[in-house]
Amino acid sequence: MGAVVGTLTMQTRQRQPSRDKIDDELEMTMVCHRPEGLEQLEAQTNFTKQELQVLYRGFKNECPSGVVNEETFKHIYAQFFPHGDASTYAHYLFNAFDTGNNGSIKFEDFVMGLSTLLRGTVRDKLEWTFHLYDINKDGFINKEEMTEIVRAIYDMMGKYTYPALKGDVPKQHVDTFFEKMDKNKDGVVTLEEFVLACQEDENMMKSMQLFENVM
Amino acid sequence: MAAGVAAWLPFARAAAIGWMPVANLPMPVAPTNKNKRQDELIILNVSGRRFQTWRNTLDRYPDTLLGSSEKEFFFNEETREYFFDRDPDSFRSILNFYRTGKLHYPRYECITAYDEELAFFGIIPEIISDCCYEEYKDRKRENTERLMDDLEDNKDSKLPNMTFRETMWRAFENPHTSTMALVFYYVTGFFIAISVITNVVETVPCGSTPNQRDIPCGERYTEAFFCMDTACVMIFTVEYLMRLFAAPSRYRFMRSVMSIIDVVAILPYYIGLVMTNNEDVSGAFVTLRVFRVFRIFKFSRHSQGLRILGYTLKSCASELGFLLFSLTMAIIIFATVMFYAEKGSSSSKFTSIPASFWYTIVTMTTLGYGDMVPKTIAGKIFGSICSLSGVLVIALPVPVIVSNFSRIYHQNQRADKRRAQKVQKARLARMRISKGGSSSAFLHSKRNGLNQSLELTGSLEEDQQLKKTTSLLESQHHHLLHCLEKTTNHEFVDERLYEQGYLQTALQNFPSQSPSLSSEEGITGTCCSRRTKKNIQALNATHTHSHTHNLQELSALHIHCGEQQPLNTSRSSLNLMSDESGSLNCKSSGLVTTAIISIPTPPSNNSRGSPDAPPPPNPDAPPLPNPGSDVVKISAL
Repeated sequence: MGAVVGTLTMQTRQRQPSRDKIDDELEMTMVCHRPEGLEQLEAQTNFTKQELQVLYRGFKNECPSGVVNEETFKHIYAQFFPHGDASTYAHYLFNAFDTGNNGSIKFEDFVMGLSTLLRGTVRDKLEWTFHLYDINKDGFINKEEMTEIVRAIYDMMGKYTYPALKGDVPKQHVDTFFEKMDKNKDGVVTLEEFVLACQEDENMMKSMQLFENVM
Repeated sequence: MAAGVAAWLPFARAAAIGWMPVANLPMPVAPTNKNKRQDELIILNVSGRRFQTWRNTLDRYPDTLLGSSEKEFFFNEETREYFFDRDPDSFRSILNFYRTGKLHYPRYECITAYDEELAFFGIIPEIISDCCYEEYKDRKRENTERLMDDLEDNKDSKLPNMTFRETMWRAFENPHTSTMALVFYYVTGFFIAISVITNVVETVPCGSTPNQRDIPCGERYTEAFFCMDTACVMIFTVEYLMRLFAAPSRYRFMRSVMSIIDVVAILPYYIGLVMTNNEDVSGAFVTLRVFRVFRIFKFSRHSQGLRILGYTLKSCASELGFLLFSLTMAIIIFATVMFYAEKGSSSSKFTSIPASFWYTIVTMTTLGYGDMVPKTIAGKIFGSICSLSGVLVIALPVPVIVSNFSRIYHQNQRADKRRAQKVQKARLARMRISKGGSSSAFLHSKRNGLNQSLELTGSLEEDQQLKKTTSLLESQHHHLLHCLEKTTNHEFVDERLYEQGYLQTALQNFPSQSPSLSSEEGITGTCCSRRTKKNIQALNATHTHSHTHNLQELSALHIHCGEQQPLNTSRSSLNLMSDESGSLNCKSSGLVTTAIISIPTPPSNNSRGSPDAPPPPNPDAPPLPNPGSDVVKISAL
């Protein structure tokens, strides 16, 4: 019986090498990416040299190859939210950072995004957030897109919340906010409407300032 | 939170800006980095070898020696470095743990030395990563077993309080303990040999009597052999009875294989004694004498190898079964073929298929007696195929059995691997706890009211006081989670409390009758939130009038349990019941009983129960209209 099993496995093993060859080729194309010089990055972003150094060290530690792909990105982000499922929101975040739309984030993309978020003007931050919410990048946020994002945020909470999540909480959550933002009631929120609505909201403005000194 | 991603915390916090536009509540204040040092290199001098690393790297694990303030004890002022008088080789792995988040166990390292180093630096061995964990556990197990063996050897000196029975049993099991036991051991061995030899010699033809027939010695010297047999059986019986007497568990002893062999060895003699010389039963009597040969198995008490062989065969039952099965299949096939091939030839010995079995077996095992040979050409062809395939079929399972034997032999020297499985489960449980530790750490700190101090208007003194208990990294992470709570207007709770809350919501479904007042304070409710610290959190209540009403109701309760409530307790004593609960903040209540307070104006349609604490002063605003989450309050007495 062992012999029979042995012969079967020998046959299947022969089919593997062809697949391995393809993987090897892929490996070779995923070369290590090195970012541009420190001075250039310093010029392009609002970070100091030391801050860039600290950021790069952390970046390189997790992604030695110099680029983050979506899986790694999701994995990293999920570490911060052990209660729930952060993968959907991480997916949207990834798309927001991946300005070049090439499926991976280089250090430059990473640092530019962070520069906007942490050191940008309020307008910049709001624009960035708008692009985050605009999933299909068509320049408008419709209700479904906002619901998607809010649902992703609620997913991060996980199951064990107080009060328990009953009913379609994200949808109700969105209903309120969408009404507020969609000034001309045309079913979509444009960038201007978005910015205007946020600027009216005092608390939100204050919250935006909160993360200034994150670094 | 894994160390490696600690560097990404700023990114995660920055990404939280994405929640702001849809946040229900304002965000709490971020923990500030009070002593904002630039990240500096620190030097760790371990017995002369200098290691350098960033301070932040060490801060990743604040509950170890290097990550906490305990390392200050080792700080050398003159040389401005931390000096540890420990093994620098082991320190390498420990420092790599901080750098990469994975703890590895180097193979060349002695297990006890490594354990000591880990214990010194405050790292639990359970977090050794999977690549090295099995090796570590194996070595550890070997070591403990060796220690136990050493202990047992020392224990062989006679314990004073052993009863006679226990002494006897020990003598039987370990013949080396005393001279008497050794003597007994050799005497029984000798008599087993005598008995076996007697049985053999009995059948040898021994000289002939005048009537030209060689009779076996047994019939010639009947009395001599009978005396020999009797003596052996006496000894065996006495031995068996003594073992039975000394055994700690007689029932278990009687069921054991060795005792069954003993019984089988001596029984024929007694049966022979009992039976008369009746001709009818003498045939059966002769058969019984065959069982005397089982006395040879008594030798297995004297030989470890025999025992292992027996155990091997027992454990190779499946391989042996396969061998038997495949042989049977092949025998039947070839016997059939040979029978039909030889059917034609005259005076063929292959009279039937079962008769061909003998030929097939003899050929397949390459014995080839030659008493049955095929005569036709077809028969000869199939006969040769039969012998070739016989070699293959028999040769295949044999290596399996051999490897089984060697495996069991080695396994005999190491204790159960099954114990390792149990330890593995315990380890996984512990790792789950430490991973869940990050989530439970958050709940834990909520309970301690850490987050309460981080309100938008912030109170710095409490801030500083509470900051000492957690590292900056942790507090930033908790702040992030707190922001998420605020965004969604739901809180993290642990599983137990979730179940509880769920049950209680099922208990009461207040239909609302009151007209629902609209909440006009604006979406970001600013009313009455910050006026007093004694505001009671109206959890998710959407209307302020009920809010004030609640205030009245619950303020009564507040008095009950108010004495020891520091103002910064967490908002719900739900969290008090989290698993790692330290002292309950509210000393009076054990939070076991809850009382339902009906609020005459339940806010709106779908009300939902929420276990509420003795009123926590939550300075946050009474929440925004949060459709779909309405609350009926329950307070714990």
